[in-house]
Amino acid sequence: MKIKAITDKLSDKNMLDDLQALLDKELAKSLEERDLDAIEEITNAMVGINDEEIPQPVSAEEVIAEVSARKKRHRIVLLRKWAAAIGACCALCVALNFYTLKTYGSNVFEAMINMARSGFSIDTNQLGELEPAEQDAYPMTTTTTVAYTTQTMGSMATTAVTNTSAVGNISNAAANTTNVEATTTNAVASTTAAPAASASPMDKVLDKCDDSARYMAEEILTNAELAGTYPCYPTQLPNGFGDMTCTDYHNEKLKDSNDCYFTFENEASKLDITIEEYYSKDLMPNVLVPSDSDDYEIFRGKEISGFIMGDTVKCTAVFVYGNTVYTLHGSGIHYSELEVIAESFVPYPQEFMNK
Amino acid sequence: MGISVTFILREAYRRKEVKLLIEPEHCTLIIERYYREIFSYCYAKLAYSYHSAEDCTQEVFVVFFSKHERLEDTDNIRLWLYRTADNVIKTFLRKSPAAVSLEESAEAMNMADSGGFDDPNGSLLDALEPDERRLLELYYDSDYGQRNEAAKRLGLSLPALYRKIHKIKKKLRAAGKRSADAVTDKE
Repeated sequence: MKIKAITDKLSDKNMLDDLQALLDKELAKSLEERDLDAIEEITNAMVGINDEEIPQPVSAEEVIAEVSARKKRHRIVLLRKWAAAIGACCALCVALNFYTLKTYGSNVFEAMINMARSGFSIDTNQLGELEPAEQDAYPMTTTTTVAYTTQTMGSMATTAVTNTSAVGNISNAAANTTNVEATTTNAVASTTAAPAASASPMDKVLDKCDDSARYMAEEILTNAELAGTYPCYPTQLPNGFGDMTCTDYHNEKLKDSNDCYFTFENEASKLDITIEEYYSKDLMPNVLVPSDSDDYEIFRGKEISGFIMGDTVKCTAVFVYGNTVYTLHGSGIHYSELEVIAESFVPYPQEFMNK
Repeated sequence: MGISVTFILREAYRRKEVKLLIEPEHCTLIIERYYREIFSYCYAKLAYSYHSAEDCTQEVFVVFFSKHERLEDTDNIRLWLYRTADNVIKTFLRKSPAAVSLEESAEAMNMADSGGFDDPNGSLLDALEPDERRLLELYYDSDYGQRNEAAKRLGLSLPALYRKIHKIKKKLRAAGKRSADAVTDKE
Protein backbone atom coordinates (compact mmCIF):
# COMPACT_ATOMS: atom_id res chain seq x y z
CA MET A 1 0.00 0.00 0.00
CA LYS A 2 2.78 2.30 1.05
CA ILE A 3 4.84 1.68 -2.08
CA LYS A 4 1.76 1.98 -4.21
CA ALA A 5 0.81 5.27 -2.63
CA ILE A 6 4.25 6.70 -3.16
CA THR A 7 4.71 5.48 -6.71
CA ASP A 8 1.16 6.10 -7.88
CA LYS A 9 1.87 9.52 -9.23
CA LEU A 10 -0.33 9.04 -12.21
CA SER A 11 -3.35 7.80 -10.33
CA ASP A 12 -5.10 11.14 -10.80
CA LYS A 13 -4.44 10.86 -14.49
CA ASN A 14 -5.91 7.38 -14.44
CA MET A 15 -9.03 8.70 -12.80
CA LEU A 16 -9.24 11.53 -15.30
CA ASP A 17 -8.83 9.07 -18.15
CA ASP A 18 -11.63 6.94 -16.77
CA LEU A 19 -13.87 9.99 -16.44
CA GLN A 20 -12.97 11.16 -19.93
CA ALA A 21 -13.98 7.75 -21.27
CA LEU A 22 -17.28 8.03 -19.43
CA LEU A 23 -17.81 11.54 -20.81
CA ASP A 24 -16.99 10.43 -24.34
CA LYS A 25 -19.50 7.62 -24.00
CA GLU A 26 -22.16 10.09 -22.98
CA LEU A 27 -21.24 12.58 -25.70
CA ALA A 28 -21.44 9.87 -28.34
CA LYS A 29 -25.20 9.91 -27.84
CA SER A 30 -27.38 12.41 -29.65
CA LEU A 31 -27.89 15.69 -27.85
CA GLU A 32 -31.45 14.86 -26.86
CA GLU A 33 -30.48 11.46 -25.44
CA ARG A 34 -27.59 12.70 -23.37
CA ASP A 35 -27.89 12.49 -19.62
CA LEU A 36 -27.01 16.04 -18.69
CA ASP A 37 -26.93 15.24 -15.00
CA ALA A 38 -24.34 12.53 -15.62
CA ILE A 39 -22.32 14.90 -17.77
CA GLU A 40 -22.49 17.52 -15.04
CA GLU A 41 -21.33 15.01 -12.44
CA ILE A 42 -18.45 13.74 -14.60
CA THR A 43 -17.21 17.19 -15.56
CA ASN A 44 -17.52 18.48 -11.99
CA ALA A 45 -15.44 15.50 -10.85
CA MET A 46 -12.84 16.33 -13.47
CA VAL A 47 -12.62 19.89 -12.18
CA GLY A 48 -12.38 18.61 -8.61
CA ILE A 49 -9.69 16.01 -9.35
CA ASN A 50 -7.63 18.70 -11.05
CA ASP A 51 -7.88 20.73 -7.82
CA GLU A 52 -9.44 23.61 -9.70
CA GLU A 53 -11.88 26.07 -8.25
CA ILE A 54 -14.73 27.03 -10.49
CA PRO A 55 -14.40 30.78 -11.10
CA GLN A 56 -16.95 33.26 -9.95
CA PRO A 57 -19.69 33.61 -12.56
CA VAL A 58 -19.48 36.69 -14.72
CA SER A 59 -21.80 39.43 -13.64
CA ALA A 60 -25.10 39.78 -15.44
CA GLU A 61 -24.38 43.44 -16.18
CA GLU A 62 -21.16 42.46 -17.91
CA VAL A 63 -22.94 39.90 -20.07
CA ILE A 64 -25.79 42.28 -20.92
CA ALA A 65 -23.30 45.05 -21.76
CA GLU A 66 -21.43 42.68 -24.09
CA VAL A 67 -24.70 41.56 -25.67
CA SER A 68 -25.82 45.13 -26.36
CA ALA A 69 -22.33 46.07 -27.64
CA ARG A 70 -22.45 43.14 -30.04
CA LYS A 71 -25.95 44.03 -31.15
CA LYS A 72 -24.80 47.56 -31.82
CA ARG A 73 -21.82 46.29 -33.79
CA HIS A 74 -24.05 43.88 -35.66
CA ARG A 75 -26.47 46.71 -36.45
CA ILE A 76 -23.63 48.85 -37.79
CA VAL A 77 -22.33 45.99 -39.92
CA LEU A 78 -25.86 45.33 -41.15
CA LEU A 79 -26.37 49.00 -41.88
CA ARG A 80 -23.14 49.09 -43.85
CA LYS A 81 -24.16 46.03 -45.81
CA TRP A 82 -27.55 47.51 -46.58
CA ALA A 83 -26.00 50.82 -47.54
CA ALA A 84 -23.61 49.04 -49.88
CA ALA A 85 -26.41 46.95 -51.35
CA ILE A 86 -28.71 49.95 -51.81
CA GLY A 87 -25.85 51.95 -53.31
CA ALA A 88 -25.10 49.14 -55.75
CA CYS A 89 -28.80 48.87 -56.65
CA CYS A 90 -29.03 52.62 -57.24
CA ALA A 91 -25.95 52.56 -59.42
CA LEU A 92 -27.38 49.61 -61.34
CA CYS A 93 -30.72 51.37 -61.77
CA VAL A 94 -29.04 54.53 -63.01
CA ALA A 95 -26.91 52.53 -65.44
CA LEU A 96 -29.89 50.51 -66.63
CA ASN A 97 -32.00 53.63 -66.96
CA PHE A 98 -29.30 55.29 -68.98
CA TYR A 99 -29.03 52.24 -71.20
CA THR A 100 -32.77 51.79 -71.74
CA LEU A 101 -33.29 55.51 -72.35
CA LYS A 102 -30.56 55.46 -74.93
CA THR A 103 -31.58 52.19 -76.53
CA TYR A 104 -35.36 52.08 -76.27
CA GLY A 105 -36.26 55.65 -75.49
CA SER A 106 -38.04 54.66 -72.28
CA ASN A 107 -36.92 54.41 -68.69
CA VAL A 108 -35.92 51.13 -67.15
CA PHE A 109 -39.29 50.44 -65.53
CA GLU A 110 -41.25 51.04 -68.70
CA ALA A 111 -38.76 48.97 -70.66
CA MET A 112 -39.15 46.12 -68.15
CA ILE A 113 -42.93 46.29 -68.39
CA ASN A 114 -42.67 46.28 -72.15
CA MET A 115 -40.38 43.26 -72.12
CA ALA A 116 -42.66 41.47 -69.68
CA ARG A 117 -45.38 41.63 -72.30
CA SER A 118 -43.50 39.02 -74.27
CA GLY A 119 -42.46 41.59 -76.78
CA PHE A 120 -41.16 45.07 -76.99
CA SER A 121 -43.50 47.97 -76.98
CA ILE A 122 -42.44 51.21 -78.56
CA ASP A 123 -44.09 54.48 -77.71
CA THR A 124 -44.88 55.94 -81.12
CA ASN A 125 -45.10 59.46 -79.73
CA GLN A 126 -41.54 59.18 -78.45
CA LEU A 127 -40.52 57.60 -81.69
CA GLY A 128 -41.72 60.63 -83.60
CA GLU A 129 -39.59 62.85 -81.40
CA LEU A 130 -36.35 61.15 -82.39
CA GLU A 131 -34.07 63.58 -84.14
CA PRO A 132 -33.04 62.63 -87.69
CA ALA A 133 -29.38 62.59 -88.61
CA GLU A 134 -27.65 65.91 -89.02
CA GLN A 135 -26.71 66.44 -92.60
CA ASP A 136 -23.11 67.37 -91.72
CA ALA A 137 -22.64 64.16 -89.85
CA TYR A 138 -23.57 62.12 -92.89
CA PRO A 139 -21.44 63.25 -95.84
CA MET A 140 -22.20 59.93 -97.52
CA THR A 141 -25.88 60.75 -97.59
CA THR A 142 -25.16 64.10 -99.10
CA THR A 143 -22.99 62.53 -101.74
CA THR A 144 -25.73 60.07 -102.52
CA THR A 145 -28.18 62.91 -103.01
CA VAL A 146 -25.80 64.57 -105.38
CA ALA A 147 -25.44 61.29 -107.20
CA TYR A 148 -29.20 61.09 -107.64
CA THR A 149 -29.13 64.54 -109.09
CA THR A 150 -26.49 63.54 -111.52
CA GLN A 151 -28.35 60.45 -112.57
CA THR A 152 -31.63 62.21 -113.14
CA MET A 153 -30.06 65.30 -114.56
CA GLY A 154 -30.17 64.25 -118.13
CA SER A 155 -33.91 64.10 -118.31
CA MET A 156 -35.01 66.64 -115.75
CA ALA A 157 -32.82 69.60 -115.27
CA THR A 158 -35.19 71.66 -113.16
CA THR A 159 -35.65 68.91 -110.62
CA ALA A 160 -31.92 68.82 -110.16
CA VAL A 161 -32.03 72.42 -109.00
CA THR A 162 -34.89 71.68 -106.63
CA ASN A 163 -32.90 68.84 -105.18
CA THR A 164 -29.96 71.09 -104.57
CA SER A 165 -32.10 73.47 -102.59
CA ALA A 166 -33.54 70.58 -100.57
CA VAL A 167 -30.10 69.65 -99.34
CA GLY A 168 -29.14 73.25 -98.77
CA ASN A 169 -27.82 72.56 -95.29
CA ILE A 170 -24.94 70.42 -96.38
CA SER A 171 -21.36 71.30 -95.50
CA ASN A 172 -19.28 73.69 -97.52
CA ALA A 173 -17.39 71.01 -99.32
CA ALA A 174 -20.58 69.22 -100.23
CA ALA A 175 -22.23 72.50 -101.19
CA ASN A 176 -19.43 73.22 -103.57
CA THR A 177 -19.92 69.89 -105.18
CA THR A 178 -23.60 70.62 -105.54
CA ASN A 179 -22.85 73.93 -107.11
CA VAL A 180 -20.63 72.26 -109.63
CA GLU A 181 -23.37 69.79 -110.35
CA ALA A 182 -25.89 72.61 -110.57
CA THR A 183 -23.73 74.40 -113.07
CA THR A 184 -23.50 71.28 -115.14
CA THR A 185 -27.20 70.91 -114.85
CA ASN A 186 -27.77 74.37 -116.11
CA ALA A 187 -25.59 73.64 -119.08
CA VAL A 188 -27.55 70.55 -119.86
CA ALA A 189 -30.80 72.24 -119.02
CA SER A 190 -30.43 74.55 -121.94
CA THR A 191 -30.74 71.58 -124.25
CA THR A 192 -33.44 69.65 -122.33
CA ALA A 193 -35.63 72.39 -121.02
CA ALA A 194 -38.70 71.29 -122.93
CA PRO A 195 -39.31 67.83 -121.27
CA ALA A 196 -38.62 69.26 -117.81
CA ALA A 197 -41.41 71.77 -118.12
CA SER A 198 -44.00 69.03 -118.74
CA ALA A 199 -42.99 66.81 -115.75
CA SER A 200 -45.91 65.76 -113.53
CA PRO A 201 -45.86 66.35 -109.73
CA MET A 202 -45.31 62.60 -109.26
CA ASP A 203 -42.26 62.74 -111.50
CA LYS A 204 -40.94 65.64 -109.50
CA VAL A 205 -41.47 63.76 -106.26
CA LEU A 206 -39.82 60.66 -107.66
CA ASP A 207 -36.79 62.61 -108.72
CA LYS A 208 -35.52 62.24 -105.20
CA CYS A 209 -35.27 58.48 -105.74
CA ASP A 210 -32.44 56.65 -107.34
CA ASP A 211 -33.25 54.27 -110.19
CA SER A 212 -33.57 51.19 -108.00
CA ALA A 213 -36.07 52.81 -105.61
CA ARG A 214 -38.10 54.61 -108.20
CA TYR A 215 -40.50 51.74 -108.92
CA MET A 216 -41.15 51.00 -105.25
CA ALA A 217 -41.71 54.65 -104.42
CA GLU A 218 -44.05 55.09 -107.37
CA GLU A 219 -46.11 52.05 -106.33
CA ILE A 220 -46.39 53.33 -102.79
CA LEU A 221 -47.20 56.89 -103.69
CA THR A 222 -49.69 56.06 -106.45
CA ASN A 223 -51.66 53.61 -104.31
CA ALA A 224 -51.44 55.79 -101.25
CA GLU A 225 -52.68 58.81 -103.17
CA LEU A 226 -55.72 56.81 -104.26
CA ALA A 227 -56.26 55.91 -100.61
CA GLY A 228 -56.07 59.60 -99.76
CA THR A 229 -52.73 59.72 -98.05
CA TYR A 230 -49.28 61.09 -98.87
CA PRO A 231 -46.77 58.97 -97.03
CA CYS A 232 -42.99 58.99 -96.82
CA TYR A 233 -41.35 56.93 -99.52
CA PRO A 234 -38.01 55.22 -100.09
CA THR A 235 -35.42 57.00 -102.15
CA GLN A 236 -32.74 54.35 -102.17
CA LEU A 237 -32.53 50.58 -102.21
CA PRO A 238 -29.42 48.47 -101.65
CA ASN A 239 -27.91 46.56 -104.55
CA GLY A 240 -30.07 43.65 -105.67
CA PHE A 241 -33.35 45.12 -104.49
CA GLY A 242 -34.17 47.15 -107.61
CA ASP A 243 -36.02 44.24 -109.18
CA MET A 244 -38.55 43.94 -106.37
CA THR A 245 -42.12 44.02 -107.56
CA CYS A 246 -45.31 44.81 -105.70
CA THR A 247 -47.07 41.50 -105.19
CA ASP A 248 -49.75 42.68 -102.84
CA TYR A 249 -51.41 45.91 -101.86
CA HIS A 250 -54.52 46.68 -99.95
CA ASN A 251 -55.96 49.59 -98.09
CA GLU A 252 -58.09 49.56 -94.98
CA LYS A 253 -59.84 52.54 -93.56
CA LEU A 254 -60.22 51.81 -89.89
CA LYS A 255 -61.86 53.72 -87.06
CA ASP A 256 -58.61 55.40 -86.01
CA SER A 257 -56.43 55.09 -89.06
CA ASN A 258 -56.10 54.79 -92.79
CA ASP A 259 -53.82 51.81 -93.39
CA CYS A 260 -51.94 50.79 -96.51
CA TYR A 261 -50.25 47.42 -96.79
CA PHE A 262 -47.64 46.74 -99.42
CA THR A 263 -45.66 43.63 -100.19
CA PHE A 264 -42.62 43.82 -102.46
CA GLU A 265 -40.81 40.71 -103.49
CA ASN A 266 -38.03 39.40 -105.64
CA GLU A 267 -36.56 35.91 -105.83
CA ALA A 268 -34.57 36.20 -102.63
CA SER A 269 -36.32 38.71 -100.44
CA LYS A 270 -39.64 40.02 -99.32
CA LEU A 271 -40.39 43.42 -97.89
CA ASP A 272 -43.69 44.26 -96.19
CA ILE A 273 -44.41 47.91 -95.72
CA THR A 274 -47.28 48.95 -93.49
CA ILE A 275 -48.30 52.58 -93.45
CA GLU A 276 -50.79 53.53 -90.77
CA GLU A 277 -51.96 57.10 -90.92
CA TYR A 278 -53.78 57.97 -87.70
CA TYR A 279 -56.33 60.71 -87.68
CA SER A 280 -54.72 62.24 -84.64
CA LYS A 281 -51.47 61.79 -82.71
CA ASP A 282 -53.45 60.87 -79.61
CA LEU A 283 -54.85 57.83 -81.38
CA MET A 284 -51.43 56.40 -82.14
CA PRO A 285 -50.95 53.20 -80.12
CA ASN A 286 -47.67 51.78 -78.90
CA VAL A 287 -46.06 49.44 -81.35
CA LEU A 288 -45.70 45.97 -79.86
CA VAL A 289 -42.91 44.03 -81.44
CA PRO A 290 -43.06 40.37 -80.44
CA SER A 291 -39.48 39.27 -80.18
CA ASP A 292 -37.26 37.15 -77.95
CA SER A 293 -34.46 39.53 -78.54
CA ASP A 294 -34.37 43.02 -77.19
CA ASP A 295 -31.50 44.04 -79.37
CA TYR A 296 -32.89 47.26 -80.81
CA GLU A 297 -31.05 50.10 -82.39
CA ILE A 298 -31.92 53.58 -83.43
CA PHE A 299 -31.35 54.49 -87.06
CA ARG A 300 -31.17 58.07 -88.19
CA GLY A 301 -31.96 58.75 -91.80
CA LYS A 302 -31.95 61.91 -93.83
CA GLU A 303 -35.28 63.13 -92.57
CA ILE A 304 -36.71 60.40 -90.42
CA SER A 305 -35.41 58.20 -87.66
CA GLY A 306 -36.71 55.21 -85.78
CA PHE A 307 -35.99 51.78 -84.36
CA ILE A 308 -34.59 48.81 -86.17
CA MET A 309 -34.39 45.29 -84.81
CA GLY A 310 -33.90 41.77 -86.00
CA ASP A 311 -31.16 39.65 -87.46
CA THR A 312 -29.71 38.55 -90.78
CA VAL A 313 -32.87 36.69 -91.82
CA LYS A 314 -35.76 38.73 -90.47
CA CYS A 315 -35.75 42.31 -89.39
CA THR A 316 -38.15 45.11 -88.70
CA ALA A 317 -37.84 48.85 -88.80
CA VAL A 318 -40.37 51.17 -87.22
CA PHE A 319 -40.56 54.91 -87.52
CA VAL A 320 -43.06 57.68 -87.18
CA TYR A 321 -43.51 60.78 -89.25
CA GLY A 322 -46.31 63.11 -88.24
CA ASN A 323 -49.35 61.00 -87.47
CA THR A 324 -48.19 58.07 -89.53
CA VAL A 325 -46.49 54.91 -88.28
CA TYR A 326 -44.33 53.05 -90.77
CA THR A 327 -43.41 49.43 -90.26
CA LEU A 328 -40.95 47.76 -92.60
CA HIS A 329 -40.59 44.04 -92.18
CA GLY A 330 -37.98 42.24 -94.22
CA SER A 331 -37.67 38.53 -94.84
CA GLY A 332 -34.42 37.41 -96.40
CA ILE A 333 -33.21 40.94 -95.99
CA HIS A 334 -30.15 41.68 -93.95
CA TYR A 335 -30.44 44.03 -91.03
CA SER A 336 -28.03 46.52 -92.60
CA GLU A 337 -29.93 46.41 -95.91
CA LEU A 338 -33.22 47.21 -94.23
CA GLU A 339 -31.46 50.00 -92.39
CA VAL A 340 -30.43 51.51 -95.74
CA ILE A 341 -34.01 51.29 -97.02
CA ALA A 342 -35.49 52.76 -93.84
CA GLU A 343 -32.96 55.58 -93.68
CA SER A 344 -33.73 56.57 -97.27
CA PHE A 345 -37.40 57.34 -96.56
CA VAL A 346 -38.27 60.97 -97.11
CA PRO A 347 -41.57 62.76 -96.55
CA TYR A 348 -43.85 63.63 -99.41
CA PRO A 349 -43.24 67.24 -100.37
CA GLN A 350 -45.98 69.49 -99.03
CA GLU A 351 -46.23 71.51 -102.22
CA PHE A 352 -47.36 68.50 -104.26
CA MET A 353 -50.10 67.33 -101.96
CA ASN A 354 -53.63 67.60 -103.35
CA LYS A 355 -55.41 69.25 -100.50
CA MET B 1 -33.55 26.76 -8.31
CA GLY B 2 -33.55 25.18 -11.78
CA ILE B 3 -37.30 24.89 -11.82
CA SER B 4 -37.78 28.47 -10.80
CA VAL B 5 -35.52 29.80 -13.56
CA THR B 6 -37.23 27.73 -16.21
CA PHE B 7 -40.58 28.67 -14.81
CA ILE B 8 -39.79 32.39 -14.83
CA LEU B 9 -38.46 32.26 -18.37
CA ARG B 10 -41.40 30.29 -19.69
CA GLU B 11 -43.81 32.60 -17.95
CA ALA B 12 -42.04 35.58 -19.46
CA TYR B 13 -42.42 34.05 -22.91
CA ARG B 14 -45.97 33.08 -22.29
CA ARG B 15 -46.82 36.62 -21.34
CA LYS B 16 -44.83 37.85 -24.34
CA GLU B 17 -42.64 39.83 -21.99
CA VAL B 18 -39.60 38.73 -23.85
CA LYS B 19 -37.70 41.82 -22.87
CA LEU B 20 -37.85 40.67 -19.27
CA LEU B 21 -35.40 37.96 -20.20
CA ILE B 22 -32.48 40.24 -20.39
CA GLU B 23 -33.29 42.11 -17.26
CA PRO B 24 -30.26 41.72 -14.97
CA GLU B 25 -32.16 39.66 -12.38
CA HIS B 26 -33.14 37.02 -14.93
CA CYS B 27 -29.70 37.08 -16.38
CA THR B 28 -28.24 36.58 -12.93
CA LEU B 29 -30.59 33.69 -12.24
CA ILE B 30 -29.62 31.88 -15.41
CA ILE B 31 -25.93 32.51 -14.97
CA GLU B 32 -25.94 31.40 -11.34
CA ARG B 33 -27.86 28.28 -12.15
CA TYR B 34 -25.85 27.09 -15.12
CA TYR B 35 -22.45 28.77 -15.00
CA ARG B 36 -20.83 26.04 -12.88
CA GLU B 37 -21.81 23.10 -15.01
CA ILE B 38 -21.13 24.88 -18.30
CA PHE B 39 -17.71 25.86 -17.05
CA SER B 40 -17.00 22.24 -16.02
CA TYR B 41 -18.20 21.03 -19.38
CA CYS B 42 -15.98 23.48 -21.25
CA TYR B 43 -13.08 22.65 -18.94
CA ALA B 44 -13.46 18.93 -19.67
CA LYS B 45 -13.81 19.44 -23.38
CA LEU B 46 -10.93 21.89 -23.59
CA ALA B 47 -8.37 19.50 -22.10
CA TYR B 48 -8.53 21.11 -18.66
CA SER B 49 -7.46 24.47 -19.95
CA TYR B 50 -8.78 26.75 -17.22
CA HIS B 51 -8.59 30.07 -19.00
CA SER B 52 -9.92 28.76 -22.27
CA ALA B 53 -12.84 27.23 -20.40
CA GLU B 54 -13.47 30.53 -18.63
CA ASP B 55 -13.53 32.41 -21.95
CA CYS B 56 -15.77 29.87 -23.62
CA THR B 57 -18.22 29.80 -20.72
CA GLN B 58 -18.56 33.56 -20.84
CA GLU B 59 -19.07 33.36 -24.59
CA VAL B 60 -21.81 30.74 -24.14
CA PHE B 61 -23.82 33.10 -21.94
CA VAL B 62 -23.25 36.07 -24.20
CA VAL B 63 -24.49 34.01 -27.13
CA PHE B 64 -27.42 32.81 -25.08
CA PHE B 65 -28.55 36.30 -24.20
CA SER B 66 -27.96 37.52 -27.75
CA LYS B 67 -30.19 34.87 -29.21
CA HIS B 68 -32.66 34.30 -26.43
CA GLU B 69 -35.48 35.65 -28.61
CA ARG B 70 -35.13 32.64 -30.84
CA LEU B 71 -35.77 30.25 -27.98
CA GLU B 72 -39.06 28.49 -28.30
CA ASP B 73 -41.41 28.25 -25.40
CA THR B 74 -40.76 24.55 -25.16
CA ASP B 75 -37.00 24.74 -25.50
CA ASN B 76 -34.89 23.26 -22.76
CA ILE B 77 -32.57 26.05 -21.66
CA ARG B 78 -30.04 23.66 -20.21
CA LEU B 79 -29.86 21.63 -23.39
CA TRP B 80 -29.68 24.84 -25.41
CA LEU B 81 -26.72 25.99 -23.30
CA TYR B 82 -24.91 22.68 -23.80
CA ARG B 83 -25.50 22.88 -27.54
CA THR B 84 -24.22 26.44 -27.56
CA ALA B 85 -21.20 25.35 -25.54
CA ASP B 86 -20.45 22.66 -28.13
CA ASN B 87 -20.58 25.26 -30.90
CA VAL B 88 -18.53 27.81 -28.97
CA ILE B 89 -15.87 25.19 -28.20
CA LYS B 90 -15.80 24.10 -31.82
CA THR B 91 -15.31 27.69 -32.93
CA PHE B 92 -12.68 28.24 -30.25
CA LEU B 93 -10.73 25.17 -31.30
CA ARG B 94 -10.97 26.14 -34.96
CA LYS B 95 -9.66 29.61 -34.23
CA SER B 96 -6.87 28.45 -31.90
CA PRO B 97 -6.33 24.71 -32.34
CA ALA B 98 -2.93 24.85 -30.67
CA ALA B 99 -4.39 26.37 -27.51
CA VAL B 100 -5.59 23.06 -26.10
CA SER B 101 -4.70 19.45 -26.67
CA LEU B 102 -5.20 16.78 -24.07
CA GLU B 103 -1.90 15.04 -24.87
CA GLU B 104 0.15 18.18 -25.03
CA SER B 105 -1.53 20.25 -22.37
CA ALA B 106 1.12 20.99 -19.76
CA GLU B 107 -1.59 22.32 -17.51
CA ALA B 108 -3.38 19.01 -17.62
CA MET B 109 -0.24 16.94 -17.15
CA ASN B 110 0.86 18.94 -14.13
CA MET B 111 -2.50 18.58 -12.52
CA ALA B 112 -2.63 14.88 -13.17
CA ASP B 113 0.84 14.44 -11.69
CA SER B 114 -0.13 16.09 -8.46
CA GLY B 115 -1.69 12.90 -7.15
CA GLY B 116 1.51 11.46 -5.58
CA PHE B 117 2.43 11.75 -1.93
CA ASP B 118 5.25 10.61 0.32
CA ASP B 119 4.84 8.23 3.24
CA PRO B 120 8.20 8.39 5.06
CA ASN B 121 7.26 6.48 8.22
CA GLY B 122 4.27 4.34 7.11
CA SER B 123 1.85 5.88 9.62
CA LEU B 124 -0.04 8.10 7.20
CA LEU B 125 -2.90 5.69 6.68
CA ASP B 126 -3.63 6.01 10.35
CA ALA B 127 -4.80 9.51 9.63
CA LEU B 128 -7.72 8.10 7.68
CA GLU B 129 -11.09 7.00 8.95
CA PRO B 130 -11.77 3.25 8.56
CA ASP B 131 -14.27 3.93 5.73
CA GLU B 132 -11.79 6.09 3.91
CA ARG B 133 -9.10 3.45 4.31
CA ARG B 134 -11.36 0.77 2.88
CA LEU B 135 -12.28 2.99 -0.04
CA LEU B 136 -8.64 3.68 -0.78
CA GLU B 137 -7.75 0.00 -0.61
CA LEU B 138 -10.64 -0.78 -2.90
CA TYR B 139 -9.43 1.77 -5.40
CA TYR B 140 -5.85 0.56 -5.48
CA ASP B 141 -6.68 -3.13 -5.46
CA SER B 142 -9.01 -3.00 -8.48
CA ASP B 143 -8.97 -2.07 -12.13
CA TYR B 144 -11.49 0.11 -14.02
CA GLY B 145 -14.24 -2.48 -14.36
CA GLN B 146 -13.96 -3.60 -10.77
CA ARG B 147 -13.96 0.00 -9.58
CA ASN B 148 -17.10 0.64 -11.51
CA GLU B 149 -18.71 -2.36 -9.87
CA ALA B 150 -17.46 -1.35 -6.44
CA ALA B 151 -18.85 2.16 -6.87
CA LYS B 152 -22.22 0.67 -7.72
CA ARG B 153 -22.04 -1.58 -4.66
CA LEU B 154 -21.33 1.44 -2.52
CA GLY B 155 -24.28 3.26 -4.05
CA LEU B 156 -22.01 5.79 -5.73
CA SER B 157 -21.35 6.79 -9.27
CA LEU B 158 -17.81 6.38 -10.58
CA PRO B 159 -17.23 10.15 -10.66
CA ALA B 160 -18.45 10.39 -7.06
CA LEU B 161 -16.11 7.55 -6.02
CA TYR B 162 -13.20 9.27 -7.74
CA ARG B 163 -13.95 12.55 -6.04
CA LYS B 164 -13.93 10.78 -2.68
CA ILE B 165 -10.64 9.06 -3.52
CA HIS B 166 -9.22 12.39 -4.57
CA LYS B 167 -10.27 13.94 -1.27
CA ILE B 168 -8.70 11.07 0.67
CA LYS B 169 -5.50 11.47 -1.29
CA LYS B 170 -5.48 15.15 -0.52
CA LYS B 171 -5.94 14.33 3.17
CA LEU B 172 -3.06 11.86 3.01
CA ARG B 173 -0.92 14.45 1.23
CA ALA B 174 -1.64 16.98 3.97
CA ALA B 175 -0.87 14.42 6.67
CA GLY B 176 2.38 13.53 4.90
CA LYS B 177 3.38 17.14 4.75
CA ARG B 178 2.68 17.59 8.45
CA SER B 179 4.69 14.52 9.29
CA ALA B 180 7.62 15.66 7.17
CA ASP B 181 7.51 19.08 8.81
CA ALA B 182 7.57 17.43 12.25
CA VAL B 183 10.66 15.37 11.31
CA THR B 184 12.40 18.48 10.02
CA ASP B 185 11.57 20.33 13.22
CA LYS B 186 12.99 17.50 15.36
CA GLU B 187 16.22 17.55 13.37
